[in-house]
Amino acid sequence: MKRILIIAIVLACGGMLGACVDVLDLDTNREAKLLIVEGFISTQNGPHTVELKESAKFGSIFEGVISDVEDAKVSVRDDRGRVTFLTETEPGEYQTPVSFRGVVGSVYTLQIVTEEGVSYTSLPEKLESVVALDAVSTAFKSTPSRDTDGSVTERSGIEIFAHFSDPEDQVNYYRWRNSGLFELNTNPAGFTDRFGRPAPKSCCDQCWISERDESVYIYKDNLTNGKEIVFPMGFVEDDGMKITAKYLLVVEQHSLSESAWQFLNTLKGQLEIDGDIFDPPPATTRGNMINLDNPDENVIGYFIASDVVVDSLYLRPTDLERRKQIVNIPDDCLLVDRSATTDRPSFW
Amino acid sequence: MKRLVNILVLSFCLQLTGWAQAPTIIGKDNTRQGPFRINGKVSDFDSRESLLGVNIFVEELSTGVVTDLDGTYLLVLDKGKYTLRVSFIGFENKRIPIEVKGNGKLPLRLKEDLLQLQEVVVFGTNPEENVKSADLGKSTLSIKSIEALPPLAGEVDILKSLTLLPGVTTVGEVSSGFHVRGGGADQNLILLGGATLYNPSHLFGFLSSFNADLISDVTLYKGGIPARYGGRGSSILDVRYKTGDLNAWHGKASVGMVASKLTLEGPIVQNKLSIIFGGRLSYSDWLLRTTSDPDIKNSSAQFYDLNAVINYHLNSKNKISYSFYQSSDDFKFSSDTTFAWTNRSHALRWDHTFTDQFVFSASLVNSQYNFSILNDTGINDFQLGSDINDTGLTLDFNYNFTETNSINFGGQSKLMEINPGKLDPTTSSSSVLATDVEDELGNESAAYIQHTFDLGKRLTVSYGVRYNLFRYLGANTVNRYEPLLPRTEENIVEQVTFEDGEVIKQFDGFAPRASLRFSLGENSSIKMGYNKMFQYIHLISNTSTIAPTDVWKLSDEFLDPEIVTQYSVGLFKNLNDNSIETSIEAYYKDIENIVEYKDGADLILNSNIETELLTGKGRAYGVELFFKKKQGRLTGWLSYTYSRSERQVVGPYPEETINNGEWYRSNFDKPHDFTAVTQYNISDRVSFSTIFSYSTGRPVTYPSAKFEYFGQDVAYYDERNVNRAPDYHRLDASLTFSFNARRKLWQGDWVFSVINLYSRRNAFSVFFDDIPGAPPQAYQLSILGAPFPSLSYSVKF
Repeated sequence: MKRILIIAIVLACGGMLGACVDVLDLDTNREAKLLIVEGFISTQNGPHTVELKESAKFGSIFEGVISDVEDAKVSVRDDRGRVTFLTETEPGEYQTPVSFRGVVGSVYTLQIVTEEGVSYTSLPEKLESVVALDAVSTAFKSTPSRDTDGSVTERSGIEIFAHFSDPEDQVNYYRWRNSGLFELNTNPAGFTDRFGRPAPKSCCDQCWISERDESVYIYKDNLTNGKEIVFPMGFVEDDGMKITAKYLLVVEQHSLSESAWQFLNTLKGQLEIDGDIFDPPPATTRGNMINLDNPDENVIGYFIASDVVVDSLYLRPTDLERRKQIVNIPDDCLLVDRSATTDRPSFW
Repeated sequence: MKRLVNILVLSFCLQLTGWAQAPTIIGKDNTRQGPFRINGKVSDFDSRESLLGVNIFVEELSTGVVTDLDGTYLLVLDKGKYTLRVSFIGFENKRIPIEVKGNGKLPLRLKEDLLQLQEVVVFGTNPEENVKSADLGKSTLSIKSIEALPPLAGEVDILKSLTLLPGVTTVGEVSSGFHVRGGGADQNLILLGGATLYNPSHLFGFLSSFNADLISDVTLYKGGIPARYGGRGSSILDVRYKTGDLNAWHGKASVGMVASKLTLEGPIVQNKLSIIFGGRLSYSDWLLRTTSDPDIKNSSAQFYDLNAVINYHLNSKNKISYSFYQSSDDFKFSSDTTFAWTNRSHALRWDHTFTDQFVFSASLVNSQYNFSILNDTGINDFQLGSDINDTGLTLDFNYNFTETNSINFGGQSKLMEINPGKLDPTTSSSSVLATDVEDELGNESAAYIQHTFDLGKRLTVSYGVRYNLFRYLGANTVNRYEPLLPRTEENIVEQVTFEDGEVIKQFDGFAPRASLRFSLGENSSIKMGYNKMFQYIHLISNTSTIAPTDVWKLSDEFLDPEIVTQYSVGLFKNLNDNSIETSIEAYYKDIENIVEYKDGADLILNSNIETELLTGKGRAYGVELFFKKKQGRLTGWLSYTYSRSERQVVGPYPEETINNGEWYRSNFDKPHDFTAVTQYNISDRVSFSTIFSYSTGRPVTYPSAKFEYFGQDVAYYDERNVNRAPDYHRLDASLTFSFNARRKLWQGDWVFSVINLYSRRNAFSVFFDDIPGAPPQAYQLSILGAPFPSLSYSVKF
């Protein structure tokens, strides 16, 4: 649907009609401080993470700061009464033990008691099973896109497709989460100081960087129930860095409950709003968390329990029909990204 | 050319003889002194088209009458000599001396005034009608007055012109939906030649799909809606065709920025059978190429519309007409996805005159609308389509006891068939599963009667009632839900199957209508109106305006009919010998069973759509001020409306309640709305027009907080439509050069217009986004961000 849209705009900035997107200065005096819960457990080995934050005023980045909710007591309870406590490893980030794994068919609830003593719980979430990935395929994709400044750039890269056989006897909800690891080569010997004078560095010209694709890829099988499905569920952009040597893509296929799918679908809709006439109206993003003492309190977020199957593949420059200019970085490779490491993975 | 000369010579002679002539004698000598009835039809001298709204003024008595929809008039006069003054906009005035001796007929023919183009332009009705008739909340625009307004891309746009009237608003500059007195866009019944139009737009609402060259006039009923109309809650828009010339062939061609038009009309059988037909074809791709958005650059847009109207004058008592309409749009987006929509309608009508007092018409209409998306990207190719087909019969009777006492009655029945959505894979490798949401069938019938009469000199009363019966018919499968739980897919307990034609659900009701006029003097009156409307078809749309992807839905077990009750009152006063018209109207509207949606509703191809729908109530009220100058070099109008439109949805569960159950503003609640339309005739041939509009910005939901999820900042919304987009204002101007069009080809009408003269960037929408490199913030999208000039040329031959 997303593509219809622009049509209505018919003309973008600089066109005959001069259609345009402008920043709108507005003053919202309203501020809701709500608990945000981003909770996830799966059938894979832990640790699984639950993140707790507090919402802030909408406006410029300096105005409202989304803060972490620290020192809460967080636990996961299953339908047989077993309770697993999570420990806060970083502010607002609570993790299960490594040994914790979800079981297909079990029902889980997330329980939170904040430092102030307010109790929250999730509605019971059943962990459904997911079918295996039959294959993961790739195709080169190139789409021209308009930057915020109005200039046109060509976005190209590799689109990823999941192939799987949807079970016929039920309605299934899917989600995919992708992560990647790539090798990057830089040129520390070409480093110049701030006056432009050569100041070669001795390290490091090679490193490995990991990343996670935070886009929401979800699917509901109501229109394709029981068929062999090929679904585009990822895209790795060729930015002149990622796909220059080798890129390891790890694809996870998750099961979702119906209400988790609904939450993610609403969230996805809100993330994709871009002002055209086909936009959904702003929706209140409800989740499955409730305040036990005050059920009317709005809590944002969802506690998801998923079955997960994993596949991986390498993407190489030869997969690209057209390559972007390789970016020359005259600096230490480790400074490119926080996740950069010089430790060559054993399987590389 | 020769014909023109003939006409000029002929009319010159007629006028000469007219002056020399003794009074026309009407009726046989009669011993009675009267009153006698004099009636007749007023028609166009050239085309024999009947003319509606012609003013016939009896100078001696200082009273007048106006021709009705069929061009007929009725005068009641005592025995004696009189002088009639016949006048109509765009036609030459005529003075006719008569002598009345008894009942009789006086047909009149008026010549189009070629040299006096657009002198008196504003609406094509009787100058006194607004004070003298019981109608309120009714506006008629003649096509001439619409053509005098600045056009967008050279196209005369009927729907956009309507939004200049008090009480009519639109949410955006490029949208085909309009809102009448706080009602939804689907609460307007749009009739073209009697047939319903479901999506009157080209290019996703950039233009409306009416070809102005074939339209005679446009009437909008906002309130006091006559009993013969029904089926939608807020307004009736009746667009009427011209009738073709019965004497000679001629035509009109025009060239605009995005489309060209050609219209031809003439007799097939002289004085008996005429045809008028026209077409419009687009070439708008160049406009898309001017954009910087690569997806749009690679798009192509085509549209066309076709109209044909045949009129057959069987004899003086019988007339048969047939009209055909088709409009079609094809928008190929980025060369692999095509959006296409088509409207098609047929209307057959028979007019019969039993006696001078008793006339009858029967019409059989069929309307079709379909929409499709064709995905040709190579991955999961599919075709998605939906369509509507409705066929209806109307029988309408009019009996005039006297000039001031008439009765209108009749019946209507309509069968509506909707295919809400059908999805098919188009290649064997596509993993799309063929899906077909069950068709819906409904039958809407009505019987109506309305009586209009004068009670003394000061009071006119019109009252009526419309009885509606709607049946939702099988074949269909209906879900039954767990009674005490929210209506969701998990709570379906059984499915009941109904046979073909079986009645699944039935609604009926009486819709009373009434209006009353009380004269305060010669030039002013007070009017009051009441009307109740039932609506059994609803637009299911999760977007802010009418979009082609929207699906229509009939009332069923889960969706009660919308019921709109309106009370209105108005004060009408004409000044300066009826050349200035002023009015104040106020209304209050109560709406039951408004359709709303759950947050994040999934509406496309949903077989259990009732799980996503909510119903609520609405209220709307407002005051409309109107000032119109109808004569002189400077004509135009000023209108100001203060209005509110609000909704409330309270369900038994939080997910079935909107805005915590509090009243909230509808998407089109715009309290202040001001329009100024002026036309100045610089000379006989050159005129200058402007439109200025101002309105409060439309309601927007601003986020009350931001939160972070999956590493992105997201806006959080709770209360709906609390804030507003920036105010809307815009100035358009046009300059028209009219040359006597029937001489040489290069002598036509040139219209140069500039839309959005001072380059206002009006917000089409306001949205909130977290774009990398900027803080999460509010953005506005404006569609017309720069002055948009255009030039069009038209020639009559």
